[in-house]
Amino acid sequence: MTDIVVDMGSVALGYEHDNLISVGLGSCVGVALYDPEKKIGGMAHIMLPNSKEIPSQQIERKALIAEKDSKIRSSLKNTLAHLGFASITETEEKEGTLAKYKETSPSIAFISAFLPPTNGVDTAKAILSKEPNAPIVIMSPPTDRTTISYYSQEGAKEVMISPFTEERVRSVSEFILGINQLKFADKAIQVLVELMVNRGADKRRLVAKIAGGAHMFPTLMDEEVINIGNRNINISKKNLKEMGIPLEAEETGASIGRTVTLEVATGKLRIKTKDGIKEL
Amino acid sequence: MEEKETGQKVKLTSLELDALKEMGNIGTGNAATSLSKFINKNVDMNFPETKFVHVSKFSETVGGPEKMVVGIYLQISGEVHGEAMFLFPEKGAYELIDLILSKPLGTTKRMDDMDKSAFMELSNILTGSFLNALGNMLEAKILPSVPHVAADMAQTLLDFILIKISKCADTLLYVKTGVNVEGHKIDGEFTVLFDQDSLKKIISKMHDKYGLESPGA
Repeated sequence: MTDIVVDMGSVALGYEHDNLISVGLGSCVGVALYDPEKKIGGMAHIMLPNSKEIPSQQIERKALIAEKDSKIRSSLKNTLAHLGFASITETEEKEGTLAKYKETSPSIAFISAFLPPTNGVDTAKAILSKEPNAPIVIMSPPTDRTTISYYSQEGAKEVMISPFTEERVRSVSEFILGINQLKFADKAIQVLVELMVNRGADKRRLVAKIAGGAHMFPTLMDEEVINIGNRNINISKKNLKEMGIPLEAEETGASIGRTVTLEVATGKLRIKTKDGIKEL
Repeated sequence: MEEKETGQKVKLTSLELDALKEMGNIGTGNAATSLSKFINKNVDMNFPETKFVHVSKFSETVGGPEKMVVGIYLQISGEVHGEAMFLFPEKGAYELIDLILSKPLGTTKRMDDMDKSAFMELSNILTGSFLNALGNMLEAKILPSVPHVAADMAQTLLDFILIKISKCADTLLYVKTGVNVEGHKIDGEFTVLFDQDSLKKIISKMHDKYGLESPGA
């Protein structure tokens, strides 16, 4: 069995030997989809109801690429241009990177882990010492977890492992720019169904189970907060209905936190709370 | 270049961050003093660890998303707006209740109504004194709402805050501190976050009051 953790505001797919897990759902909703015949499962960890309600702000897309290898540089530049980055600056060593960072104030800085003369972390630290919140992404070839968490601890907001596919660059960019669409119920369910169908699931066979959408502080009467959970539940159900996916079971609302696990082999949804474990 | 803006998020210089951290430190110190008066016991506080963490990493910082905690949540209004959350590991929270109600340590295992109201009172004192210190420092009126208490997995108490701010801010001011009550150590975590306009207001007040120079970035 492989445990696949679905991060807040994202979706994931799993096959017969996988468990899909959304850890610590409070107001968030976990939507589990399942094709019983093909044994393909999917889970969305939803934060917000509807992508259309949020006014799309004018978000500046300005990138800095600090990379010695000109091939990687130009390929990443093409990808970013394709993703709508209007201004892309390239550098190949530390001093140039610091100067260009200061000059252009990019909304994302992609810095190679092996940037001359020493390494990318050194350059990242020089930027972070002046601007502790700097939007830095460290680019690295495949490496171990310790190294990745070392990059994060040194201040990288995200670590991007090669190959830098368009899908990966998009998700990293959206995360940094704060415009991740998959945190919304409507978008997440739609994308999840598409992904499952692409991998061989039949949309007509899909069934759904959902959990979460709690209101964790029962004495808090703030309507905005109360509504986050409720609306996540309602919009998730509405979207499932519109897509013709039957809701087989749910464990929603109330004031209790839940960790949910979809066991893809059986389609069972296991719900862990402070009071114990329950299966749907 | 004092304040760089992308039009969406407030970017802070190191010096401004340091000033905000200092606020966290003073606030915690003030809270410890009030706690000591309230329970009439010796309370000293370890030098707090104050930093900014990315929202998605917050539950890691408090010991993992499924760690059982008691959370106190309140909203901040007045001249600045925002929200604050105190988190105590369950064990620490129950020990605090024992101390307040003068029971032997280890008596409280689950919160009943009496414990809950004792804990609310404690929360009032801690959050009130923390925010008072902030208000005094900024010469601004900062009003805390009544505190709300819940016990559950850390991530489940935090996600609505992460949701609310996922549209604008992405870092939280985070203070971790150990409290020693009569030599007994209790861990606690505190986080406060302000909306973007308030953060700008706070920074500009700090510039006025402390004459923060731009670090010549």
